[in-house]
Amino acid sequence: MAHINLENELPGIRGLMAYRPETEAPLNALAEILLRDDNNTLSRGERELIGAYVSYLNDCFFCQNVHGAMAQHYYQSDMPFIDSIKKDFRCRKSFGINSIFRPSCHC
Amino acid sequence: MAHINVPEGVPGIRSLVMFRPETGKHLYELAQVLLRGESTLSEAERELIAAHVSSRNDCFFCMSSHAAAARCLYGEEDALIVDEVLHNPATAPVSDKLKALLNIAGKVQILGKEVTPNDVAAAKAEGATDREIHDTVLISAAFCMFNRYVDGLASFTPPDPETYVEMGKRMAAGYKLPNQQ
Repeated sequence: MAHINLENELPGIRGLMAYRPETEAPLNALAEILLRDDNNTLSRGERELIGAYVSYLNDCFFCQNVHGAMAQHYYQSDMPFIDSIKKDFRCRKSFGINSIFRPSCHC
Repeated sequence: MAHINVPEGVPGIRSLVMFRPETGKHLYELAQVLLRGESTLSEAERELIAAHVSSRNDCFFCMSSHAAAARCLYGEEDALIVDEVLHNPATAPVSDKLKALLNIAGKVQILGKEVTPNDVAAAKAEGATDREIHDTVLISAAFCMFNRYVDGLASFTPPDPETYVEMGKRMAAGYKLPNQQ
């Protein structure tokens, strides 16, 4: 249960946003520009992957799974692929040649 | 020097939002709503939470600028409250409610999951409302983002404390996206 009474049953950040629409607006607008705007040389998949990876490092179950699922959708991959990146993005096995993540290990 | 080619001589987050106003716009809007919007916490108290989190994140630019804004908002007579909170919130001359909120802010700075039901109950026992607890957590989380943004790109951090006095006065008036150079 949430620490405060959000007066709704929505999961994760959606519950927080519904509780406080004044802060929801800039937060949603920021996510939209950073993660989805197509005027960007990073793909949507790459940006969602960065979101999922940082959420994984922050041990945030909700965010790493939501953004991991978005990355999985954009990459048209399976979840083990996303999980392998979260665990070690340097692993060559995880990536295609055009990835922005430069593989540095030799496994 | 900053890690990327941002406007030279412009300090901290200002240089970054001038480099990328599309994201800067929403970042400033968020700061404006959280720190200047309608709230039962005073603007000075909210700036204090921001400065406290920035201090814990070792972000000299954000700590100095938001401490300056808080001093400005507290007024000359009470300006030293800010320095006492930065030194040790537990012994600072602020209300027990604000101490409990600063404790939650400090937990958020470590990791969201560090905030325990006891931390929240302690704040509620001192009269903190759900909305005040919500905003405290969001201010803290947002400043973890701002701090990492500013230092992750090594934006220009003026070393002279005097620089921040003027900055604090400007910030006290509100957060508005700077004009492009």
